[in-house]
Amino acid sequence: MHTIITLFIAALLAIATTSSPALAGPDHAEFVKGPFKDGPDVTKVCIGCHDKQANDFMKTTHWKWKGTPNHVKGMEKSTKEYGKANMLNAFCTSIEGGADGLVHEACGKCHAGYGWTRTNFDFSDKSKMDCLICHAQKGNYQRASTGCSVDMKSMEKGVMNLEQAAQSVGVPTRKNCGYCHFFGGGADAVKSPGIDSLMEKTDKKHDVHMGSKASGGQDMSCQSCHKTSDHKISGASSMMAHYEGHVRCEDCHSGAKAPHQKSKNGHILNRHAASVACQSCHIPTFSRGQATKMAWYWSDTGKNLTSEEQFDKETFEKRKGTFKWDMNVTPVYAWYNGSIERYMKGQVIKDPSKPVFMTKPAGSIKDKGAKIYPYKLFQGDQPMDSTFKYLNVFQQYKSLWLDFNWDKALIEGAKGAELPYGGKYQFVKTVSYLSASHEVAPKEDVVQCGECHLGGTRMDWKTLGYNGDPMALGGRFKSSQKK
Amino acid sequence: MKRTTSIFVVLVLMFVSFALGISDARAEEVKMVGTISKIELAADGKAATAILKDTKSGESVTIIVTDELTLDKFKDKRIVEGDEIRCKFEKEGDKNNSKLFRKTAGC
Repeated sequence: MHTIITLFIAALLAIATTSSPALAGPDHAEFVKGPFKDGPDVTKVCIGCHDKQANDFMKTTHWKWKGTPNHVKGMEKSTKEYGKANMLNAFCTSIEGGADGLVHEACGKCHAGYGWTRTNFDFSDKSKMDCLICHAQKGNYQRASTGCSVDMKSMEKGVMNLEQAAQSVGVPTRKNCGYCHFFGGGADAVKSPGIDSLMEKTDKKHDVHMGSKASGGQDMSCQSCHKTSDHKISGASSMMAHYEGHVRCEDCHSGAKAPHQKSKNGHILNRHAASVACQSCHIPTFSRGQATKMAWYWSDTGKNLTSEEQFDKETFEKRKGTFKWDMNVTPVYAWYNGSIERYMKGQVIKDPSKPVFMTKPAGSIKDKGAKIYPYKLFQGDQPMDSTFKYLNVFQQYKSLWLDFNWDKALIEGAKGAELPYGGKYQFVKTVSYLSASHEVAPKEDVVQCGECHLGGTRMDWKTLGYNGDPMALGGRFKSSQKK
Repeated sequence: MKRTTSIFVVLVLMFVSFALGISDARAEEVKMVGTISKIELAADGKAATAILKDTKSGESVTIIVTDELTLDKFKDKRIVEGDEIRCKFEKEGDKNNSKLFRKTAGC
């Protein structure tokens, strides 16, 4: 009898699984009828059924490009909102450069909306959302490189089909997220370590989670780890002021799926978990598929330098300056307690002779809640206002890139950033710590004990605050750590 | 004596083949940037040939592409004729087998 009930339940579950629209994804071709002349035309149809989802989306950082700075040490209680919309980084630097936010028309290619070409975009108008950029599965949906709209040229050339895109909507795939996130910093693999276009279709050796099933991987989507709720997507970028939820390995790897259960040294490995993040051992190197940008010197913009190739990428571009590239990079390690120390727009630089930390994890050996995480250490330089001692915003593609005149570019940039330009500038060095959290390696490739301990040099123990190798001198929670 | 002769013959053959470059079975790796003038997908979808016009020399080069990711991009038209491509390929006989095939475009 027990067997019959079990079989019956199993059969019901099988039917539910195969027929559930939530899992299989409903075919929208029945509800979404064209023809559509542009993106907002499609959005109107989406909102017809998904008004709640549209309202939810308007509250997210993917829509606003800012949020309360709950990730920034010392600013956790601020109600003012910060993000890509009004912060600076050491890559393309800012989206505000130019009168009335002129540069929005280019950076907005990656905004999930239509028409944010200038500062005065109406963020309360849900009809301007771009649902397709995250949800279209077919039709080669493309956004224009400028103008924050559907790429009409692709439609005219016949390489994009808006109707097909609208009818193919479903749960986002890695290709959807990657449309923007693989190309952060202006091109493939530039910014975030381990997040590049190869992740769209890769193998287990490259990433155990996203590698194909055929290679033994799990072929997981981004949102398998970056859990979503009401269109809010978890994940705390090491560059961003706001997060909508942390992603932790333990979200999955705990309880019955707790790590190291089959390892004969499991208890020793588990003891590490109080101070060492999973990523530190399981991501031995980053950017294993293609090179990532390790340095960007804006001060070389406009010079007539010779470009060389590093890992199949150019080391100089007249419009942007010089770069350094590297792949298969051993990370640097730093304590992170869940907060970052972040350079904020307008912040005065006390000593311009020292590098400015654009972003750096908060935490130390004394911080019990902190763990050691792996990072890409990104270096560069960018202009600082010599009068006001803050990093400037400069206009690039309609000023600096036309005549390489920094003064003009800084004057133009200041107009959009509401950050006055004092008339003189100098270049200051910058440093950014970017979290290496992707490209989790197969277990046979993880960091071995001897790489950190017993003479191993992977971890710089002194910089991390230890007296030396904790295996020899005792860990931070042991009173036995020798002085 | 027979053994010594054999070793001698083998050594002579190795020397001759080295001198003539016969033993160098390594494929030559070539890098180029070019614009796609034609893409042809194989009927089974498992390979494609792309003709690139070298931006430096103007010469047309036919590349064979077999990696799934690039083939996907051909199929869903994310890479199309007219796109500028950074390519690395290996010359094996009269075939140029793609090792890297990416659009050069960025912001």
